[in-house]
Formats: sequence, structure tokens, C-alpha cells
Amino acid sequence: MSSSGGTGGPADATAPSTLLYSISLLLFVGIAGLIFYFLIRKQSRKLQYVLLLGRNGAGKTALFVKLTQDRSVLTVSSLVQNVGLTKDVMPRDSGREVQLIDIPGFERIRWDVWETNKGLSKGVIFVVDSVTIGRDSQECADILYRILTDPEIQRRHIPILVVCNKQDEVTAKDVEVVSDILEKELNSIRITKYNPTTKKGNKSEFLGKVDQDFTFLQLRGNKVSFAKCTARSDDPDGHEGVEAVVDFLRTLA
Amino acid sequence: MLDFFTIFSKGGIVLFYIQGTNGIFLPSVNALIRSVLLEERGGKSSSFMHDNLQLQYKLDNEFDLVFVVGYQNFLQLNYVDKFLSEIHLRFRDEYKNDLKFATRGEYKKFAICYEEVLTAVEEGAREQNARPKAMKTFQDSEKSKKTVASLIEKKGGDEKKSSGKGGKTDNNGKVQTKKEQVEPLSTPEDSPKGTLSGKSDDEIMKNREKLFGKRPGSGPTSPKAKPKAEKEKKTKQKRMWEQGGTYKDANTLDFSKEKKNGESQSGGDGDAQDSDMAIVGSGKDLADLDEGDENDYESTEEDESGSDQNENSGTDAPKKKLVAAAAKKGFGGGMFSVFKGLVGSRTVSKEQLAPVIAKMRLALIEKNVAAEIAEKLCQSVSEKMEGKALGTFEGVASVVKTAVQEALVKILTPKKPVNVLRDALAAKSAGQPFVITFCGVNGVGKSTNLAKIAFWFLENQLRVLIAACDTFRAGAVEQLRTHRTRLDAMHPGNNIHLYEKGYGKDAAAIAMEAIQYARDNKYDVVLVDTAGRMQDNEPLMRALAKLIKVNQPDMVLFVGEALVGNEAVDQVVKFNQALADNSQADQPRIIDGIVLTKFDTIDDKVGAAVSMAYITGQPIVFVGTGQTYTDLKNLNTKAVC
Repeated sequence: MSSSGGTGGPADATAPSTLLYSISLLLFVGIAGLIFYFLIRKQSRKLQYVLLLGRNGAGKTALFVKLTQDRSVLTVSSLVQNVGLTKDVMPRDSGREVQLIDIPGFERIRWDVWETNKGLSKGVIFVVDSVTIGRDSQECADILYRILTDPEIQRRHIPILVVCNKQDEVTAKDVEVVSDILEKELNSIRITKYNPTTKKGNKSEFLGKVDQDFTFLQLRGNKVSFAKCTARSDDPDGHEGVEAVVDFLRTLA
Repeated sequence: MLDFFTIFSKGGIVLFYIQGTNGIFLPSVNALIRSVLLEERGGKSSSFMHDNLQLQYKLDNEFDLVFVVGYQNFLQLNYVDKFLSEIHLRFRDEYKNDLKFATRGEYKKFAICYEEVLTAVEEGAREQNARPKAMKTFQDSEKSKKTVASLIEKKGGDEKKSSGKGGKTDNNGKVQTKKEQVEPLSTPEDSPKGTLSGKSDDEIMKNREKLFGKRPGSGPTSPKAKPKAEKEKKTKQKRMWEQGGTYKDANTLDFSKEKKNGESQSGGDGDAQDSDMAIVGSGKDLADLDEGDENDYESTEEDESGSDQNENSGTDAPKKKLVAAAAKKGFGGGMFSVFKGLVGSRTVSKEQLAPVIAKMRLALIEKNVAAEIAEKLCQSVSEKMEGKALGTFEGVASVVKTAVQEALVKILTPKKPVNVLRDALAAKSAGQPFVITFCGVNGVGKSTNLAKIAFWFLENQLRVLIAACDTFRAGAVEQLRTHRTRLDAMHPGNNIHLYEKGYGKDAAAIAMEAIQYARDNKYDVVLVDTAGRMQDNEPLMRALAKLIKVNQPDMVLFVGEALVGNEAVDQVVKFNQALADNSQADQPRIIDGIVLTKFDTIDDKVGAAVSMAYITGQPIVFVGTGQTYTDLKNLNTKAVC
């Protein structure tokens, strides 16, 4: 206390110029802040975020590049997320565009990125490797389960598109088969993860109807649709292979 | 000579690649990413083996690029390091304008530059190889940079003399780690001031040398005259640096030292409030266990609302706790860099990083992270941070802090989702019992936590058989029998039984009979309790390996105390080693998961969790937090970091 009073004294002596100075500074900071605020608001209002999610190796980054840059590239496992606009595939004149966020497939990174970005999302694209879904059904369903039970996603009725990627491969499973597999897995997960004796377990926790086997149709809030897709098509013209995804994006933008 | 070379963004988009003899390189690169870059195992070597391929990588943190080179591992290519840094520079030179949007660019033309650089470096290497024969062998042996570093260290701190001498031998990596082990151990004993400055000194020296070592390699493009000049320059400048550097760094370190003292005192006061397990004390009801289980992947908030007694201050406090100390210590540097930041954007240099990282390491060790692990972690983080562009108002310290935090979360998060219950149900539907074997050293709480897990399975309507394979310790079987009686009383309905064969028998045989018995009598889960054993007890470890080999359990859980520090590493490593060595199988069963016990006793010293998860790369499946059956939780990663 006493020390602060001591330093207050000399400061008062030079008051007028200091005061003027600080007022102008405050004004400046205030104006700058307002400008920033509006800039950010304007930007965030314009952009529709869509998250790309899925298991490692499902083809998220390939799809991302296809959607944002309209070309096929080789990809390796992502270490960080990719962010980009989809204006290349959207109709030129519409002026609508979607900000895609490609979330790395590694369990250790995925949910971090997810947590920070889910609040902005207008839609979720869940990418599934149609070739290996039989083997990796558990992990895929785990991810999907977490998306579907996310309070934020449920509250805002975020539409979810399950993309069955790699349809060009011979051994790829059909959309219906993938859907069946996921439903079956989700059914077992919702039993093991949800316990009715839990007092605090809120309604949103349990997916679908309690007394029936789980189907995607039971989900009221979130519309889950399925789409075929071939992210790594070498077709030079247009967005061959990803039309269904583009359609989904159009409905959002 | 090189099998492949590729440049890709950290987002995973391949920008450029050259493929040599070998068919496809993507699997190798993915393996590298998965087991090195993502696991914070970066460290010094920056090389990795996969399928007869030796991979070496370099990170560009400014533009988020990764450069990877792969070659057959029987080739001893000494120019790879140089090649990587040269091509890195070259790439940046060529495309410095486009790199802001690196993933959109076209880099096909870079192939020409690649050839140029490669031939230049190869030629340089060949010349270097040819030359030493004419020269003295003594000088030849001295050309490694790290060897020089160790020589200088010898002058600085005499305690490291022996290890410095060891450094002359070829495999620097091993010697280095030894040194690291020695350093942190010595810290608490010495007067803090002396060691702190002394050590950071060493580190800075090392780092500078590395930096310097890179520069001559990267700058000139004429490789022929290089080797000689490089050597001469190095020795001269180093001497200058030694004096200048020591003095300056001692000063800066003194500043932070004072702050550190103050901080540690205040930190001591604050310690009480963050008994950090948000999961502790959520209740007594049977249901709570499942609830804790559900919280697995959920936000911390729910946990917190459950634990209303003492930790309203919340998970945020411990979250920052681990790194807060270090951040404050490095604040002086942070302030300074803020002013610098006003001028323009800048990148993090090694010099800036070294002191912050050193403090971070101390902070980690203070939290009971094994010294070796702390060192590796910090190295990997510093490698990731170097050259990274800072935002205008970001300080080095705060950036490092978040990086370390991220790294910790990454380590503790399981690689794939752990859902023991689902696996058990899957086994049930397949008509097989789900077998879990518990192992660990004496007195860590194997039986107690086995009982808790049995209770948890009972809660989930599964029939449990406990196999008493601890045929050694007096009272072990009786203890399990008591547990079973109690559990049976709590969950009437003949759902839990004990399979016992008395003492002195072969544990592996009992386990096998128990599993067979479970199969016949439709038990869903078999929990195999084994005798506690010290990791150095060779015969007992062999017995354990036999038990696991014979019975092939679905899950091998290592039970470890949260109390241990450096010992954790030794335990886990030796258990894993014993299981691998004695199994005689191509793909030995090793530890699948960790049960961390006595977590309620350790306050905020949560380092053991980090150490064990880092070493094994396996998830922490359960956490034991007390004496009752319900005191079994899932680890909440956010709460720990």
C-alpha cells in the first residue's frame, strides 16, 4: 500500500500530458478493437465450416484436396489439420463456399481438433474406408458414436454425411453394407457405454430407441445420410467421384 | 543410393517425391509418422527403421513441412544429414514466395534441383571418404560434432568426465542418453544456482554447435573445398563462443533463477489445492463406477460437478500446473520477445528455446516424470518448435508451454479407443471367456484392483471367474476368496467364483485349467491374478512369460503404482522385455494396458502416468483411486496435464 502511494506522487506531478496521452491511447485501442471485432464477425458469418472426420487412412486428406483444389494427390498420415475453401468445386456464380477442416485421423490428435472446431461446424463429413470397414468397424463406429452423442452436435441438429470412400477398389463394400455394419457396431457400443442405472446419464446419451436395435433412421435430430465417393480418381475433368459430397456441401452453403 | 525422397506438408499432402528402386514408400512414411512424429519420440537421432529401410527426416516448422529420406539400412550413408539440410534450404530458396500456400503449389520442377543437390552432396561425401585415408586417423575420428561437444563439456563440469570420454565412441546416441540420466539426478544435490547455470550452459553449447554445424553445410554449394574449411572454422569459433556464451547465459539464468525461487515457494503453497484427480470422490453408489467409465471421453466438466468437495478450483489449475512453473521462470525472455514481436514476425531459434526447454524439463521432473522421459519429451518438443513462426504477441515460453501440454495429452491419449467392456461382450457373443492377466511388482495392488475390476464387470452383468494364480505369497488365495465372498454378497446370483488350487503349484497350469473351466461353465470374464515379482527376478519373469504364452490372454494388464518415479521406466521396460524375450514367438504378447494404482496418494505428482504411457505406448486402462470397490476410474487426460 505505502509503496504504491509513493509511486503515485511523482506520477501526479506530470499529470496533464500523461492524461492526454493515455486518453488518446485508449481511444486508439478502442477503435482498433472495434474494427477487429467487426472484421472477425463479418468473416465468421460468411464462412460455413464443415468438418472432415474419420479413421486414419480413410482418405480424408485426399478428399479434402479433391474438394478444395480439385486434384488428386498422394497423401500420408496427417500430423495437423488442413483448412481450406471449397470454392473450386462449388458453382462459380453462386459465390457460396464452405470452409473445410480436415481433422487428422489419429486418435491422439483427432479429438483435440474436434473439440476446438465442432462449435463452428455446419456439417460433419464422416469418411469411411469401404475396403477395410469390415476389419475396422469397431474403431469407425467408436468415432461415429462420439460424434452422434456430442451434445453440441445434437443440440444444433448438425447433419452428418457418411462418405463411403474408395469405391473404385474392387473389394469395396457397398453403401448399404457399410451402413449395416455401422448400425450393428453402434448398437453394441451404445449398450456398453450407456448404463441406465447412471443417475446423471442424460437422455441424449442413449442413441436411438431403447427397446429396438439401432438404425440410423431412429435419430431424430441429426440427419445421417450416406454417399458413395472416390476421392482419388484420376479423372482430370470436374469433380468425378465426389458429386454426392459436393451436393451435400451445397445444401449447407 | 537413396530409395526415396519426399516432401510433404504436416497436413499430410505429399508435395514432391522421388522414388528409387523400391516400389512404394507411403507405408514406410506412415510408419515413421505414426511411431516417431506422433509419439513425441523425435529426440536426437531423427532416424527410423522400417522394413529394411532407414528413414531420416527433417522438419520445417515455419511452413509446416516434413522432409523424409529413405535408404536401405545396410548402406552406411554419412551424407544424409547434410543432404537433408541442403535440400531443405534449396527448397525454401526455390519456392519461398509460394510456401505460404505450400499445399497448392506444383513442385515437379524441383526434381532437377533434387538431382543437383544429391550429386553435389554425394560427391562431397565421396571426397570426404577418400580423403581421410591420407590424413591422420586421429583427426578423422574427431570429426563428429558431438564428440567435440563432449570434449568441451569435460572442461566445464568435471563430474561428467567419464561420460565425456565415453562420448568419443561411435554411437553418440547411447552415450548421450546416459549423460542425460546422470544430469537430472545430480541436480537436487548441488546448490541449485550452480547446476542450473552449468547445465543450461552445456545445453546451449551443444545446441549452438549443432546450429553452427549446420550452417557451413547448408551455405556454400561448392562441396569440394568444404570439409577442410569446416573443420578449421569450427574449432576457432567455438572457442570464442565458449567464453562469450558462458558469461551471457549465466547472467540470464541468474535472473530466471531468482524468479524460480520465488515461484517454487508460492508453488509449494498452491500444491495443496490441486489434488488433481477430478475423478476423485465422485460418490459411493455402484452406479458411479460406470459413470466414471462414461466420462472416459467426455469433457471434464461432468467429472467436476461430481466432485464437489474440494476441487472447485477445478481441473484448470492442474492443467496449467505442470507447465506453469516453467512458464513463469521463462517470463523474462517472454517479455522481451513481446517487444521484439512488435517489430515483425520472427521465428524461434535454438538459443531462445534452450533455456525455456531446460526449465520445462525441470518442471516435468518435479512432477515425478522419469528423468529420461522428461529429457526425450523436451527434445522432441524443441525439435518441433525450432524455426516456428511466433505470433505477434506470443512469447517463446508460452508457446513452448502449450507445445509441451499438447505433447503430454498426446502421450496419454490411447492410440485407439479402449473399450474393455465391448471387447468382453464381443468375446461373450463368440462363446469365449475374455481373459485378463494382471502382472506387476510386489505390493502395487494387483489383487485389490482385480477385485475392483471384477466388481465393475459384475455391475455390467457379466459372469466373472477369478483364477488364483498367485501360488506363492501367503494369504493370496484367501484374500481373493474374501473378495469373492464380498462381491457375491453384493451381487447375489452366483455370478462370481474363484478358481483355486492352493499354493506351490504351477501358475500357468492353474490359469489354463481356470480358462477351460470358465469355457465349460459359461463364464464371460476370467481375471488371472499372478504373484508379484520384481522386474529383475529372472526365474519369476520367465514363469510369467510362460503363463502368458501358454494361455494367450486377451489382455495383459501391467499394474503399476503412481508413486514411482524413475523406477517406473525400469519396471515397465523389464516386464516388456521379459515377456518378449521368453515367449519365443514372432509376435510376442507384451503389455496391452496399464492399471495405475494408488492414484489418490500422489497429489499433483502425476508423472508416473506419463512415464509409463510413454514407454509402453499403451493406454492407461484403469486408475485405482482408493480402497473401495468403486474406486476405479478411467484416466482423464485433461485433468492430468
